[in-house]
Amino acid sequence: MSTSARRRLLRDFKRLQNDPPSGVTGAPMDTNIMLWQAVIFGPDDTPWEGGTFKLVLEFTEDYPNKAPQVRFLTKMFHPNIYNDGQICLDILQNQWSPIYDISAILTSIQSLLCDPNPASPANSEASRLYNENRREYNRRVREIVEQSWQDDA
Amino acid sequence: MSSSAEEDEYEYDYSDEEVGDDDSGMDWNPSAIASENPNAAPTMMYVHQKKGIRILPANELLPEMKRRLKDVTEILDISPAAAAVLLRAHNWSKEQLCEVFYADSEKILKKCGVNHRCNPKLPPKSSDDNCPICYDEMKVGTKMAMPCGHEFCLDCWHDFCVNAIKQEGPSCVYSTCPDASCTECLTEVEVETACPDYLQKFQTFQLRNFVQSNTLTRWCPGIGCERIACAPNASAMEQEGNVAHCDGCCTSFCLICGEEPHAPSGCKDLALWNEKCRNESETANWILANTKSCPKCASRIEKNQGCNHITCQRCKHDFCWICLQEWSTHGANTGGYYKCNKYDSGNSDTADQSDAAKAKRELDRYLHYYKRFHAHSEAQTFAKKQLNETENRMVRLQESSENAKWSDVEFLKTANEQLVECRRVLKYTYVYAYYLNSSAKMQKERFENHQEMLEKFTENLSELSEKPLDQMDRTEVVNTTRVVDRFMKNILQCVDEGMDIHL
Repeated sequence: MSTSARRRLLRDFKRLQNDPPSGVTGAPMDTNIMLWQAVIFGPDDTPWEGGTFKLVLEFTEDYPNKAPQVRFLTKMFHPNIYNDGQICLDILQNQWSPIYDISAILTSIQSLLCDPNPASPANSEASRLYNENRREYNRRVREIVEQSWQDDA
Repeated sequence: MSSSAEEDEYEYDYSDEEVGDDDSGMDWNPSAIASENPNAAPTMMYVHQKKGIRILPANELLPEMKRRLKDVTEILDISPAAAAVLLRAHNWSKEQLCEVFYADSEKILKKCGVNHRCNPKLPPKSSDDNCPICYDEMKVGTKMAMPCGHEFCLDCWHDFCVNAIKQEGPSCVYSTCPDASCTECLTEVEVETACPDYLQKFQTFQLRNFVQSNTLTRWCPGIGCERIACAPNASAMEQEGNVAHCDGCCTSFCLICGEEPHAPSGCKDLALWNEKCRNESETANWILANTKSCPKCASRIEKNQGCNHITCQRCKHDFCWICLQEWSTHGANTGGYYKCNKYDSGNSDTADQSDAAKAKRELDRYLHYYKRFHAHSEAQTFAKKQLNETENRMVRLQESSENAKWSDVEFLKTANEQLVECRRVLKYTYVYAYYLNSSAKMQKERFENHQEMLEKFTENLSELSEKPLDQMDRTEVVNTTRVVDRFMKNILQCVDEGMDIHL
């Protein structure tokens, strides 16, 4: 069935393949174009360097007028990411625009990793450490990065 | 809808000149307006002639909305679509809008997302002629842009508008350009082109917004009711105690906060109280389990009538439902001193200043008032139920006595209506009392005296009117109804005067 949402997702996929943004990859599941898996690589020269973080994106027929549900599968430690992997990011909520595509979503999340928004904490401990004890925060992030390799194995 | 059709549709006789005349007086004399109601439009023009609060079908407010749009369109020389966005952001008050507009028009146009609409620029000739949303090629005639110039294909515009209207409901009127970085506001102009089927819905939301942000109007809170209470001006509203009665669904409500009429308690206190009750509901529920034990024989008793005078069926013990003390200390006919309404902190140890003890005292105090508030609320529900059954009772009462006319049994209905009202007022006297400043001792005592009297006679009337028909004493019920009415008015008056003294 070809709906505008599905057509657009196919085109997103093509664009992602032809013009891949650095540090992120994504592809729909074999059986369901409305469900995507993606990987964000931790940016170099940051505590996140080397990490491979898996996500799942769920789209509805209202896409691109409505943002997808995005969730980390890998365990995260970040002020704006909940324990269940849900992300507190404005463009996924009220600042969504239909001109955003999957690569825009993934690169936004990638930049959120190193540039958290302490004003809207989703993980209070990560938020506290980020503000008060950056050294310990960075250590916890490194731990998460190492864990992310084990998930791959 | 064309403007000529509107004029035919509504039967109001407002002509442009009339409106213009009246307006110029209002517009250019802001100080006179400010003294009345600085945040809202001072008057609802076309209901001006009719005194008091009126209930209107929703669409009858359209002319008033259009009148304000037209005014602003002319004064500021902008399009109606821009006027709607600007008015919406300023409580639909022309005065408020003009003030900020003349102070810094550029700032306000940008802030509200109508900068381009009021200073249009041509869409840029971009080399990439693909729709930024679906990536399809856009041909001439299949694309559209708001005055900000961001072009999208008509199909995507359609989906965008429909999604906004369907998903966001009333707040769809705040939608902005699909472009991520653009804040230009969506208006009915685009909706009309992109999805004409939804234009009416969009306009309904616009009207809803108009009603909501206007302090002189309020949607009837009755379930499924589409009517609007509308006051001509602030003083007329106050004269009727801010209370509106919907003739469509028979709901009475406060025009300011939309709750049930709550005199003598004020809107702010009531909001605080409701919030408190929500937070404390678990504690209170635990204490206010639906049944209570008879203080004498401990059998569980469920209260299924409005009167707080309980006689245990098993041991015939008479007691008060609220405080579980013997009824003889409450009764009107014994001359006993009725003191169930006062919170007596005397028995608790006020010397203990620990936080736990203070919290306990505060909870006790709250529960004292909440229990009574709740009891009257329940009794009000009973009285309402009884009122529904009154007609049957009246028929039977008429049949039971010879030569009785319908007017001879109408006292029963009057008494019942009085009861519902008294229970409601009594309910809110406890909200009022809870927030009454404890330092205003004289005022508090005076208030509690009134409350006590009203409570006493309300219980009395409740008892009399619930009696089996063969024991019904008409004269007594009629007299008590009259007395209760007097006490109810007294307490409301007492609060009004008390507040004056306080100020």
